[in-house]
Amino acid sequence: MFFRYCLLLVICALTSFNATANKSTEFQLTPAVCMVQNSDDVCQIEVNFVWQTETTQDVCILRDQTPLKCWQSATNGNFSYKADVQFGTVYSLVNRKSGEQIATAKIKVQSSNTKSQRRRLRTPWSFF
Amino acid sequence: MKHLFCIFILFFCSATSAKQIDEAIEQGELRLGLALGLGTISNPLNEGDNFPLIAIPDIAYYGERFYFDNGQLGLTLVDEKHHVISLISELNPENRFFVTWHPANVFIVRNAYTEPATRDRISISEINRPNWALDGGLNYQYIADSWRFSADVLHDISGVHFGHRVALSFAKGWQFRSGVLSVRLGLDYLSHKLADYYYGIQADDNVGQTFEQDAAVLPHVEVSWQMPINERFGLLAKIKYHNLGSLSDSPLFSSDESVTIFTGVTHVF
Repeated sequence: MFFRYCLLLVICALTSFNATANKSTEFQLTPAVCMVQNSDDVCQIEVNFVWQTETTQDVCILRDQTPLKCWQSATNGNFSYKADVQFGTVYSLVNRKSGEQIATAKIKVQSSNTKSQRRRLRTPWSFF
Repeated sequence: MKHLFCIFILFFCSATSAKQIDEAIEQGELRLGLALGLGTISNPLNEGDNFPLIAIPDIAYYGERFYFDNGQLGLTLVDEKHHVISLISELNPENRFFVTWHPANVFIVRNAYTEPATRDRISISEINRPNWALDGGLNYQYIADSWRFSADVLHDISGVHFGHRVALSFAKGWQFRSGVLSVRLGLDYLSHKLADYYYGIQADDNVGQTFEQDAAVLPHVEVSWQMPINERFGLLAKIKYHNLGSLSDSPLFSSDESVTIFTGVTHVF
């Protein structure tokens, strides 16, 4: 039974992955959260971007207003780079020709000294 | 053990690109969630009932130092970027298969079906039921960007079993477009006193034999998949495999493993 359920779990994840891959516009980055000691510290992390659009476009990923990576006639792409992220850093996916902002995303920078938020020390839904 | 090997190979060696998500929580706010669905917890004890699992709560409250998180009470002494040390206390989970009113069983409905006992096995209904035990001790966590190591060292502070236990775990998560896949590998050590209190057969049990349970090491693996639908709703599927190691030598056991499976819809209030 263990193996059957294990298989089901993996199939569910993969099926859902494929299903969502066919959705319309997406612009996601990971990790979603980065911890720093103090609120003005820079968070040095490897950021992964994944994007897709409904139609073929020339697009760029911008950090604030600075281009990081561009694609020509593409409907999807992914990109990784080592970033120095600070509070308020915004990434955007824009159309190169029209300048239209297709989507934006940002990494939540949390300070362990701010104490407004804490990391959970147990796994969610771990009662059993 | 081959199950553990399968899971290890499947998830640790293949997916390498995604990152784990930090679970952040607002200080001073109660997080209350409920997952409703279908599942079961298999009971390895002889004549122990399997537990149909219909709901899983998610209850957490964090103050500046103090916290309560899914049954564990803690006081964080050190909270740095990578290192977290806390004093913790929680009910000893070994009692969960003997009784239905353990906090881990509040949301579980007992199944009336019981399997017949074999001659060389002793039913849990024939022995004295163990008492509740409250364990207290220290938790250390190393939190990296994409994985987390946790170590608990706990001792009985309620004077019930007078034993101690150590729990080690390594967790890693991968974020996909469809959700987050998490894998946790763990190893629990139960001291001789603890293991013997719960799984030994004492003379005052009056079953015609005694059995002294030695210390035991219990490996376990958990795989879970969470897919958010919106801010409040999501999907959850999880499976946990617990190998009972040398504990299954006890006449109280009819199986050497316990499996928890659940699939359902989550809602955060």
